Amino acid sequence: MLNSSIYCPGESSLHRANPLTKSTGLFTVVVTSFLLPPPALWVVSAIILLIGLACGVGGSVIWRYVLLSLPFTLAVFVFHGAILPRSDMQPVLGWLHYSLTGLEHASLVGGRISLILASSLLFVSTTAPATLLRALDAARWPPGLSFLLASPLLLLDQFTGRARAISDAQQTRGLSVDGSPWRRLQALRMLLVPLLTSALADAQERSHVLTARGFRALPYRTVIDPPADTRFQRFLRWSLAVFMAMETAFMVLR
Amino acid sequence: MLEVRDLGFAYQGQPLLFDGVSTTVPDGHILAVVGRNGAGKSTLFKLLNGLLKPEDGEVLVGGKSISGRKISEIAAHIGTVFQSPEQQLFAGRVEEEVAFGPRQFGLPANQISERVSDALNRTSLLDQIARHPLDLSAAERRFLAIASVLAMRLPVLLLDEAQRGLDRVWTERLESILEAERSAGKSIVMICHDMDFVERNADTVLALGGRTPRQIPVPAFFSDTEVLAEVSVERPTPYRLREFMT
Ligand SMILES: Nc1ncnc2c1ncn2[C@@H]1O[C@H](COP(=O)(O)OP(=O)(O)O)[C@@H](O)[C@H]1O
Ligand SMILES: [Mg+2]
Repeated sequence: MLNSSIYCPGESSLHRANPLTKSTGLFTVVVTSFLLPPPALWVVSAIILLIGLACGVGGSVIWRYVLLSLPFTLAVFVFHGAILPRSDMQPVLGWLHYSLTGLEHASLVGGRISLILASSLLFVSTTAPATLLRALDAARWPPGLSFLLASPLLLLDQFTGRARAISDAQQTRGLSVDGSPWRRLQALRMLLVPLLTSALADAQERSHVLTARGFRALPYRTVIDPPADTRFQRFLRWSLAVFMAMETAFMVLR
Repeated sequence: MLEVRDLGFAYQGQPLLFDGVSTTVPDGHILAVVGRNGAGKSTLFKLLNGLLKPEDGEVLVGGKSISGRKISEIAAHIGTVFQSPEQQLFAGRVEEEVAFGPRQFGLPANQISERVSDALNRTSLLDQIARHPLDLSAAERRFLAIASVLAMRLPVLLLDEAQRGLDRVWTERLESILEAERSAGKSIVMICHDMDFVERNADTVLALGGRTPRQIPVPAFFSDTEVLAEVSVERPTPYRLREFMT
């Protein structure tokens, strides 16, 4: 059920691209998502999932995308479309009403989250945390800052590893993880509660690691084998940065 | 009794890790699994407790095949203490952690609490019954993982590196638990890097990583220089001393 890591090794061009290029691309998608209309948000989400399939990470990306976005999307549509009172509420059936503007708004919010989620998943499943760290170090980012950026990825790895360990321990001590939906829900709760507790317990330790790694004598770390980079990728990154700046200016001035 | 017959297994996209591995652990017997890192010791345990499915062969407990059964069903026969117990504790209280296994069996409350106090007593953790597992010391957490499996009272016990990093007092406690379980007729398999510990506690050795893994009685294993070199393990102190003296 759980992979020990979100990163799926591979040889696609997205796997081989420099992590800096990929993160710039990810940031561009996030910024752009605030400018796109609802239908475009969903279309681009679908395109990103298709890119995942083409890169050989489709299974893991789509599975996680569905698992993470479905509950949220449903909640947003029900809340904005049928619960929140709006002036254009129309009756459907008995006590059930719906609002068109509410549904449109839900499609916008849901689409934005869907796009950000899909592109983030594509990024983390084609980028090994260690490679990202090396790329940031090679670009002479301060170690503290690069660790801060890469730590969510490292954390996710650690988190899934621990989820697997707990689930293994529970099953070998007799917990049945299949059966009625109620049983499955119980099993999920028994997995999530200790995960949250240990995440909270780890948080304090991690803040020590951050201070230890962030404020050291050398302003940057030297990297022996930096991830490959090309002139085209550098050009692409600068273009995307300029594009993002223009988008931001447009949003502010509009 | 635990029997493994012609076990074959490979991780996806990797060469065969096991090819026809067979071993028998009679009642009241301790088998030590040794071998260098990556030899497949932890994988062997996952094949026994059902977390992984073997491609070939069969695992039998008390003469009955458990291959192909669900993990939670195999849990009624085989108990596992995994490597790094800090990763596998999940309850909010020591008591709850130990009660988890017996509770899955659907035992009545008084039997569960009897088993919990017995297991905690045997692991010297009775004083800690109300604490949070994360507040225990490393050794105490290891023993909590052991107590959680002892409370299930199973015929087969798997221990992955249970002795690693323990001081003398805790090591002696572990050895007396092993001895008691052996006397009670359990089939015990332990993964162990400490050859002195193997020499003191095990009856037979299964050496992984060599050409053909074979189950060998402890004295024969430590006298066989060829096998020792093949799986790259150190000789225990008494054997080295004897060699030095003659
Ligand atoms: N989940 C896995 N997927 C693929 N390969 C694995 C997995 N777990 C372990 N391996 C590989 O299988 C071999 C045996 O691992 P393991 O059983 O953990 O060895 P040991 O416990 O003896 O150190 C190693 O080469 C390891 O890299
Ligand atoms: Mg191991």
